[in-house]
Amino acid sequence: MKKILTQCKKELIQFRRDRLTVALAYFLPTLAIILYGFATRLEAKNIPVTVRNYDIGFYSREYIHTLFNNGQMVSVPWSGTKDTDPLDLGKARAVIIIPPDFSRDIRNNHSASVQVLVDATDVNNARVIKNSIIATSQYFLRSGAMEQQKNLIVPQVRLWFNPGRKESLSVAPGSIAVFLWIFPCLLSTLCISREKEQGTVLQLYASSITSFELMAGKALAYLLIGISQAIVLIGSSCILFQLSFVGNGLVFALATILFLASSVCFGLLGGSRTNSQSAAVQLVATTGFTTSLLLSGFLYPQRNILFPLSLLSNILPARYYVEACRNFFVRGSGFFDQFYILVALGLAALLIFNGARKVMSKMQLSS
Amino acid sequence: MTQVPVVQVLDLKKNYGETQVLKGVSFSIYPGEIFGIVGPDGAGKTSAFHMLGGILDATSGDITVLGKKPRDTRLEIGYLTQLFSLYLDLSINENIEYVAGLRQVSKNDLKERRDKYLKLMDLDRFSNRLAGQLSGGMKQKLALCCALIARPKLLLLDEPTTGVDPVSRREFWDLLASITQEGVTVAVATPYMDEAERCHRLILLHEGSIQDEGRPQELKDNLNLKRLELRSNDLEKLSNRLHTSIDKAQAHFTDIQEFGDRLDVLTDNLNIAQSIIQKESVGLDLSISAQEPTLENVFVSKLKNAEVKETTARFPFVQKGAPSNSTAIKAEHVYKEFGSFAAVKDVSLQIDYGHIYGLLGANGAGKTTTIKMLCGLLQPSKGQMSLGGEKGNLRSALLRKKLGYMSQKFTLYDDLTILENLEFYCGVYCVPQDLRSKRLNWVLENTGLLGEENRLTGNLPGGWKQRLSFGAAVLHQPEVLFLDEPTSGVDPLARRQMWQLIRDFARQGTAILVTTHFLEEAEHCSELGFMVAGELVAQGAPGKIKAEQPGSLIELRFKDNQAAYNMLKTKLDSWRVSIFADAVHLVLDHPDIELESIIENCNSQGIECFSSRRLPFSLEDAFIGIVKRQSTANAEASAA
Amino acid sequence: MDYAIQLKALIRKELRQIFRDRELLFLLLFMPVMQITLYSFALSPEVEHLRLGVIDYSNSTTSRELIGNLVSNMVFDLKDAGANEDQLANKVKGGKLEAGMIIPPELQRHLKSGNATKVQIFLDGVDANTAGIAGGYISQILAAFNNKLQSGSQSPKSAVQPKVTYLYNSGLESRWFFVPGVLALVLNLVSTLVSSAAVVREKDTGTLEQLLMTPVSSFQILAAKVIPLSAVLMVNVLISLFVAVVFYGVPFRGNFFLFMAVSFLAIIVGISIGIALAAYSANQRQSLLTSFFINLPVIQLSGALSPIESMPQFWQDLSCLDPLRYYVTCVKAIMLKGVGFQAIWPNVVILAVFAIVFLSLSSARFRKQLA
Repeated sequence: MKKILTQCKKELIQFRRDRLTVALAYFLPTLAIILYGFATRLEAKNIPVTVRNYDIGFYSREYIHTLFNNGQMVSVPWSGTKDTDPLDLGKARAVIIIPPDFSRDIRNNHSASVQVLVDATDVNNARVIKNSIIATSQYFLRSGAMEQQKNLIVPQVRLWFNPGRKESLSVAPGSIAVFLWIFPCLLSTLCISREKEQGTVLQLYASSITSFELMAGKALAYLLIGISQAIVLIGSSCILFQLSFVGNGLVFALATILFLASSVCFGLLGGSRTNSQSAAVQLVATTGFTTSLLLSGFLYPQRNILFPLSLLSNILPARYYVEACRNFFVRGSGFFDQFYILVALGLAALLIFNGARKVMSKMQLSS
Repeated sequence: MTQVPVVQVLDLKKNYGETQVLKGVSFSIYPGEIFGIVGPDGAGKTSAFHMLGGILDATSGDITVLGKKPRDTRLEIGYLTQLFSLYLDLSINENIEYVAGLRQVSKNDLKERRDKYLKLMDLDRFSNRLAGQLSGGMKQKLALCCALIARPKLLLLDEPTTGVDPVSRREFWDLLASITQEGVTVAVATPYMDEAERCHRLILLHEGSIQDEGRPQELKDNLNLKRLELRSNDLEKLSNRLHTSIDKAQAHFTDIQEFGDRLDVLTDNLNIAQSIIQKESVGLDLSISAQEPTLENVFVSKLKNAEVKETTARFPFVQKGAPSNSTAIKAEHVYKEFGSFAAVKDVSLQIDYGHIYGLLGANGAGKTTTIKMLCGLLQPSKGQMSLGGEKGNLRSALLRKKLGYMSQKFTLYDDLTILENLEFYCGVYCVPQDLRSKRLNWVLENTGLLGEENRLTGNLPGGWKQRLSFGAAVLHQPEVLFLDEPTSGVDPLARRQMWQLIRDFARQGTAILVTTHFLEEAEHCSELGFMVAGELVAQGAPGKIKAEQPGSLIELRFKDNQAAYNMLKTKLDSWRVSIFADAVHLVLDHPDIELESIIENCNSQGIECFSSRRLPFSLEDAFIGIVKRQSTANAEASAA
Repeated sequence: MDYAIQLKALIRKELRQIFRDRELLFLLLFMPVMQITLYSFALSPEVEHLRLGVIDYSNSTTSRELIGNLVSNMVFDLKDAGANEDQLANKVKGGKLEAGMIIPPELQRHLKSGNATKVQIFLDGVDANTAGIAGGYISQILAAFNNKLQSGSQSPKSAVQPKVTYLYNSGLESRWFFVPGVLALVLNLVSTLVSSAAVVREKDTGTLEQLLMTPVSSFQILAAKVIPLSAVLMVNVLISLFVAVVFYGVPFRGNFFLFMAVSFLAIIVGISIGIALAAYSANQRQSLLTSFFINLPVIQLSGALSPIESMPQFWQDLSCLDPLRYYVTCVKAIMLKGVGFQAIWPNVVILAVFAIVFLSLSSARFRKQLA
């Protein structure tokens, strides 16, 4: 036990001494979360749409007005010669062509048809545009001057947890999870690969410290650093994105510690498997970053991931912690609803720690 | 010996894949001795230490340390590696506390031992300084302190003084001597022959097997050869004549080695050899002095018996017109400052074509900065320089074509094959097509790599790489050659060959600037410059520098050398006293007056002195004397 | 003459080093395949198969028809809703259902009397994007249902009938959106990493110093780095393209040579960033860490993964400084839209300007460091 504490104390002193690493530890995650929280918008808004109106009547003007009323689409002026020109040039995402007899048809109580060309390179956007135009057309029918209809079924939609549908509320908690995975493990991987690269690891081999004590000491130190990173990151995102704590604090605290522990141990595992700092960073960054970014369900729902990869996503600690974050900041779930998260994270931390310990278990040079 | 050995090694073998690093080595180390393992890079020293320390498994063979397997006695072994044992971002105290924690030293013991050793090593004033801010010598003393904090019974030191300046090296060895007095057994690996002199017993390791074993004096005596130092006004002619006489079988010369201002001849018959030399040196000035052979002589003779004949092919020189000016490199009052730190202060030197200039000094003394300025890589902050007749633009492509440069780090691409590397340098220096194959062959032949030119350079041992880089640096027959520590990690045989080549280039009129740590090697230079803390403190031919040392060096043998050493240290400046395996060395300014009273003094305290004799100064003695006198003078000046 | 010999020697050396570096080759060959696979399998913005629970107190033909309409187009799947309102609410709150609907018992009665019936709908708002789209679907389906109820059994008639045509990607394959973006992103990442490694390595091992003492000029050194790297990276582009088109069926509709020319510009930009990174950092570790600082915003603001027009204005403005943005636009336009130079020339010009400016800045810095 004394050896573990000695090791831990040494790591903390070393960490504090290295300015570049300290900057990396606190500044980089904050920068990253600002970037993700503010600049990642999945929801389509302000979609540029251009209208080619061949009709000169009242109804087409009214229709166009309705189209741009809800702010989802913004009008851009028509330019070009072919109908598809604005799409080809990337000036607009959709072209709406209103035929010359539009107003006349409506006046005559005929169906007026409108041609809509949608740039479907961005699938999400394309769907939103289509839905929006169809909804507008239906709305136009009812609110339009022709006949006052009464709705027989009125939906009362209640959006739970995030009534304003603020997107930062769904992106920020997920980003916290992703960055609390990447940065603590980056630090811990550097701390072990540096010992290997600089040869100080020989001193450890030559002393009687066991692999368990060594890894536990390092893990403990970097867990403490990780907790301080978590406090900085969560604190700054609370201020920046006005997050509030709505869930069970105990579960979240436990989940955070377990998650950080598995992140730190993952870094130790990567560091002890490679021989140089740059190789370790590349290994941890590419495997850790891409998997936690893509497979944790932080951007798009985790159940959308296709079959072989969906299995992989289930063993990622980040996937569980993304849920824990959303539960704590948005959903407000109770203790027993998320007990499985603690179990999964605890298991992950244990397994990864054991893996890291095993790699170094000989505490000897390999032949 | 009847004592139980601390370490017993039986038929130890180690393979890395196909390569056999140790080929069946056996030796024992007894309590309280300093046991030296001497050999060049790649001889298997480090692997042997790893196995002794229990951090590497042997392929076969038996190691017993203190009666157990090394792995089970790790807490009783102190281990110190080449410069890497410390955390540079921790302070002295933090380093010690960390090691103490790992090795389960109790709080009280820690405090007591820390205070004791830090005081002994003169580090107690700096206990809060970061290890990274210490000089090389202080770092190694701190590392030793860390290794001692757990009171090990056995101390393993793997090249502890690599990159440490001669002054600190000598202090370090004095410390080792006192430690063994406390009952610690020391095993030390070193590539330096002068350090080997200070061990109680030695083994010479080369290519994984033991070439010789014994006390330093025994080894030298067993050689049964005498060494003659010859000085003359025309060494080249003398050397040529002696070499031709070697072929006449009766010469009794086993070896002729050329240095900067002398020839060393080894002979088994002093009288015959002397008379032959007298005969051959007709018309030349000559002085002969007979000396003991050095350990290096022992080493080289053993290796020559063990293997290879030396083959040195001559470089296919192309006759070039003589340069218009005889001065190749000239620096006048050159300074270099990095921020507020003055790395080089007021350096003036001149190197003519055909001369070898050796720049000596510790790590951080400013050698590398100086060499970089002289070859135009760094702009001096102040001062005048000229290079190859060029004064203003030292970076022109035309000038660089005439320069050869071998930097301190490896200068070859590890991920290219040997041939690809050489072809690359031929290409960038535009070596004419018709000369290429001849010169490539020359490099391969001299490095012994003919037939292996498609091996990856990265897989070669350090010494080979070094010789290859030398080859790559001279492919274009440069007029001025800069060599920054060209021989580090090269074994003594190859080192001799390299110096022979360097001299060949000098004879063809190339001006050569060399830096080195090895003071023994500096003897090869025709002129030397000593750098201390950015300043050139002494310049001149090796013989002249030694001759200019005031006083003499005296070897005393006592019944109890350690007690005598402890006593003498209190009486004299501490740098004047140093302890060797079986003797104490003193530097006295006026031996005729001082010596007698010193011996009397010892005898009166019950420390009996058997013998005393004068020794010639080595360059190292001269260096330490210069540095110490300089700093004493500085201290006095500032006090006044 | 000498000049050409020297340059040839330098370039040959670089090529040999590149081909001997397994890690690098792995990066060049494997990265595009792995990244494109990961992204196209893992990222799917489809809003489909949302879990819907319904408590139907009305239990009438109308209510069943309404439910049928909701689940008919795959957006919603009907799941167990529990026995009562509370249980349903808990399921949505606990994340077991994305949506819940409660149809009151008086539906049938109100329909007859012509009164409006309120149907309660709960949506899990944790994933704002999904919730928004799901809400849109529900109101659209309900509106259509209302129309049908109004017009009775007659065929529903709306005044405006939009005929929507999806251009470029009529099957709405979300892969087609991600793959070109990832292709651009990987190229940027690889070219930065590879070039900074090639320069830093020489600095780390000390061979750069040796090189400086040879008679080659710093321009030759730089050219010898850029030429082979860009050639190798062009091969990397081909591999990515092959993976995208053959494995993932993304169409390639535009001009191949235009695509390669634009990619060349992007490679030059990437290499310049890499060289600058290497020139400013002292060792490999530093250059790796700084590359994090740079690549994060470059990727995030490029529009490769999320559309730029949805970002807040400030970030949209900032993204104009991101060279990758222009390359992503070009790749998508050439591959999916099949447009020619006249349609994307502003992007190409800006990219070229970036390439020239970056290359001259980073090479100036590199050469200054050599001097």
